[in-house]
Amino acid sequence: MKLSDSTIWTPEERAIIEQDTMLARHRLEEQYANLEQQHETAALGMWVFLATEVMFFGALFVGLGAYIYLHHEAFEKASEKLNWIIGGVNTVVLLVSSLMMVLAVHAAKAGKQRGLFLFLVLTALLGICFLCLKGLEYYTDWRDNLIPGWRFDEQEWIDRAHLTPNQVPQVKLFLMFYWTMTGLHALHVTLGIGAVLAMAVLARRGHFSPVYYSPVDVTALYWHFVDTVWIFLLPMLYLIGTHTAADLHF
Amino acid sequence: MSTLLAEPRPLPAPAEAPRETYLNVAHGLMSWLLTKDHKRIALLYLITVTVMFFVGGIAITIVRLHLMDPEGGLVEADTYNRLFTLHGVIMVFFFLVPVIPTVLGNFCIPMMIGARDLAFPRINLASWYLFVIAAGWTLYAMLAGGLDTGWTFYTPYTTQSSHYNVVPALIGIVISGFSSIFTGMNFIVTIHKLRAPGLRWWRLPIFVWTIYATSFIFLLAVPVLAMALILEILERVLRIGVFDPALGGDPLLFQHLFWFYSHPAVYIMILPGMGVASEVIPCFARKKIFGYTFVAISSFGIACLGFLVWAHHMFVAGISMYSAMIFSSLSYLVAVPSAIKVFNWTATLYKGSITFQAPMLFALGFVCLFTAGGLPGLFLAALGMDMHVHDTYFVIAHFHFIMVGGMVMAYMSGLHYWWPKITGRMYSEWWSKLTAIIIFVGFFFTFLPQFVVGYNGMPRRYHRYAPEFKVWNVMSSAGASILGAGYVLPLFYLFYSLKWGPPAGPNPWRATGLEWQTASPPPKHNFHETPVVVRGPYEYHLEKAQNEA
Amino acid sequence: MAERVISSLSYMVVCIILVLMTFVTVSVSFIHLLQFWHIAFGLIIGLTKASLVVLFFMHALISDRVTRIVIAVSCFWLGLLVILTLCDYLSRNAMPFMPGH
Repeated sequence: MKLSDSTIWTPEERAIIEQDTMLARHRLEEQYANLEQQHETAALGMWVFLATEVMFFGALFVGLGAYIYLHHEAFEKASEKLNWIIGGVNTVVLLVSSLMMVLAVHAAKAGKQRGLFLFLVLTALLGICFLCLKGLEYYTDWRDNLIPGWRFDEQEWIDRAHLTPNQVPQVKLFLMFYWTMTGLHALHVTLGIGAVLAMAVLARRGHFSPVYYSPVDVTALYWHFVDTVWIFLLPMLYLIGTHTAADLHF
Repeated sequence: MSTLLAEPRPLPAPAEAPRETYLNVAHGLMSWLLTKDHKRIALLYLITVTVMFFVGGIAITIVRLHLMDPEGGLVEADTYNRLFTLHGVIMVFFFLVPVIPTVLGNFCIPMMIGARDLAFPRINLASWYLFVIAAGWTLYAMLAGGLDTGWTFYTPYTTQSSHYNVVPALIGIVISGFSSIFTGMNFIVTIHKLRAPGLRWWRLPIFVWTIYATSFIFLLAVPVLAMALILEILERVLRIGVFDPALGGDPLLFQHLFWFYSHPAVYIMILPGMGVASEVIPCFARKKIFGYTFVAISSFGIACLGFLVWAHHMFVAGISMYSAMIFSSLSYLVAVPSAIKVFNWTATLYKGSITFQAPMLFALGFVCLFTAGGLPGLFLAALGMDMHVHDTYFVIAHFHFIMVGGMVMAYMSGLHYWWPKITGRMYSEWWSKLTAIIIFVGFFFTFLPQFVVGYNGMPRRYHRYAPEFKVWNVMSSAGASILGAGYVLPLFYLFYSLKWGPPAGPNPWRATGLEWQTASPPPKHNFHETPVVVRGPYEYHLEKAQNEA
Repeated sequence: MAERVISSLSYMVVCIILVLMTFVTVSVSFIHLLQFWHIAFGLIIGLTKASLVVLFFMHALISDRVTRIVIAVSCFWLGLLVILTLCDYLSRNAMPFMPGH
C-alpha cells in the first residue's frame, strides 16, 4: 500500500513521515541540523578546497609567466613542438564532459535516476578519452625527444631550431613546466574520474534523491575546476609558439 | 553469636556514577586514534606539538651552549648548520604554525559557536594523521641524514650544493602543508555554517575571528609553499634549472613563491595568540573588550595586508629597487592593524578590575613583548636600515620577540586559561604564576642581548662570531637556560593537576563565552541542547552593573 | 538548495559557446602578432571561458553570497601573487646604471 493511498494520515503528517523516512535512509551527520545545512556545508567545503587548488596551480602559472617573459624566444620555439591539435581536441573533450557532469547534477536534483547514472558514466568516459588522448600526446612527445632528463637531444635544438647553447637549458625549463603542469592536471583528472565512477556506482544503487545529492554536486564542482585549469593550460603552454607556424606537425 | 542479634549495618551508599564526559565516554587506544571528536583530536595534537616543541628546544639549547664561546667548539660547523635548521623547521612548521589553531582552536571553536563538532570531523582526524606522518618523516630525515639549508631552503644551495637529506625533508613539509589546509578548510566552513541560532558575526568572540583569519591565510598561502617546495624537489631530482641561473632559472622566483607563504605564515603564528589575549584580558580585567569591531576587523586587516609584503625578506636579494620600495611602503601599513589591537587591549585594561592569575600574567607578558618586538619590525621595513641588519641577530631578536615572547606566551596563556575546561582540574596557582615570571625574565635575558649584537653586526647562522660579542652571547645563553626551565615547569604542575588538582567547575574564571556554559570537561556533544545566543560577547559590564545595583 | 534553476538548454548553449571560443583561441594564435598580444588574447578568452564555466556549470550565478565571496577572493588573491611577483620581473633593468643594479 503506497503512502499516498492511505487515509489514516493528514497530508501534513504524510509529508513529515516521508521526510523522516528519507532522513533515515540518508546519512545526516550529528553536527548538522538538517540535510540542507549539510549540503550547503559540503558545497562550501569544496569551494574552499578549490580556492587552495587555484593557488596551488597558480604558483606554477606565475613561474611559467615569469619565464615566458624572460626567455620568450626559447619558450616559443619549444612550445611549437607541442601537439596543439591533441591539446585543442582535449579541450573540447573536457568541455563536453563538463556539460555531461552538470546535466548529471541537473538530473539528480530532478530525481531522474537513469539520467543521473547515464550522465555520470558519460562524464567518466569522456574523462578517460581525455587521458587516452593525453597518452597519445605523451607518446608523440617521447617520439619527438621532448623529455628532458630522459629523451632529449640538445644538438637538435641548436641545429634545427637555431638556438644558442645558452638557450637550450631554457627549452628544458619550458618542457619541465609542460610536463609538471600537464602531469599534475592529468593526476587531478584521474582522481576526478575515480570520484565520478564512484558516484555512478552509488547512483545505480539508488543512493541519491532530490533531497540528498550533495556528493554528486561536490564531485561536479571538482570536475568543473579541473576543466577550468585546462582552459588556461591550453593558451599558456600550447599556443605561445603557434604564430611562428614554422613547424606544424602531427 | 552476638553479631546475629546486632542491628544490621546500613550498606554504604552506592558510589555516584561519574558524569559522562568526552574523556570517559569511550575507552581504549582505538577510541582515541579513530575518534571524530574535535576535543580528543585537540588533545592528540597537544601531545604531538609538545613533543615537537621540546625537540626543537633541545636543538637550540645545544646551539646556545655552543655560542657561549666565540670560537664555538661544542659542535662542528656542519652540525651547527644542521642544528639551527632543525630548530627552525620544527619550530615554524611543526610547532608555531599548528599550535593554537589545532590545540585550542580545535577544542574551543565548536563550543564557542555552540556547535556539536566541526563541519568535517573525519577531515579533522585526517589532518592530525598527516601532521604526525609529516612530523615523524621530517624529523627522521633531519636527524638521520640531516639538513643544513636553514628553514628557508634557498636555492641554489638547497638544490645544488647541499649534500644532505633535502628531498625527504621537503616532502615532509609538503605533507604538513596539506594538514594545515585541511584544518583551515574545516574552521572556515564551520564558522560560516555551524553557528548557533542568534550568534551573528558581531557576537562572535574575537578568538573565533582570529582563527578564521588564520584559516584564511592557511588556505591561500600554504598551496604556494607546497608548489615552491615541489619545484625545488623536481630541480634537485631532475637537475632542471627551475631556480638555477646556470640553467636558465631565477633563484629569486623560489624566494618569491617561498615568502608568499612564509610571510603570511608569521601572521598565522601570531593571530591566534592575539585571539587568546583578546579572550583572557577582558576576563581578568572584568571589562568588555574596547573597540570590539576594530579588533575584529584588524584581524582581517592583518591577514590581508600580510599577503602584500613578502618581498621585504628579499630587499638585499636582488629584486628591483622599485619593487623594493613598493614592498617597503606596504610593510609599514601592516603594522597599523597590530597597533590597533595593542591600543585596544590597553584600553580594555584601563579602569578594569584586574586580577593577576597565571593566564593574565602570560597575556600581559604577551602584549609587552609583542609590542617591544613588533616595533623593530618597522626598522626592518625601512630599506636603508634593512641593508645593514638583514641576516643579523637583529632580525632573529625581532622575530623571536614576536614568536616566543608573543605567540608562545599567548599559547601558555590560553593553555592555562582553558586547562580547567579541557581537563576539569585546576592547577597550582603559585607554581603557574612563578612559571610566568620565570619565562618572562628568561626570555628578556635571552633575546634582548640579541638586538644589541645584531645591531652591531653579528651575523646569523654563523657558528663563530667576533670576540666583542661574547658578553652578550653569554647573557643570552644564560637567559635561555632560565627560559628552558620555565618551559619545563608546566609539564610538572599541569600533569600533577590531572590527578590531584581540585575539580574546576564549569566556569572557574567566571568568563563569558559559550564554552564556559557547559560542564568541565564537556560532554561528548558539547551541549545538551543547542544554545540560543541573545547577547554579545564580553558582557562583563553587565555583571558589574548587577553588582552595583 | 538554490531556488533558481538553470535550464538544460542553457547548459548546452554555454557548452557550444565554450567550444566555439576554443576554436577562436587556437585560430587567433596563428596570426602574427606581438607576443604580448598573444598572451593577452589567450588570457582574456581563457578568463571568459572560465567565467562561463564558473557561473553556469558551477552554478555561481545562483549560489549564495558566501560562495561568490570565496570565488572572488581566490581570483583576487591569485591576481595578487601574479601581479606583485611580475612587478619585480618587469621593473628589473627599468633604469640602467642604477647603483647596485
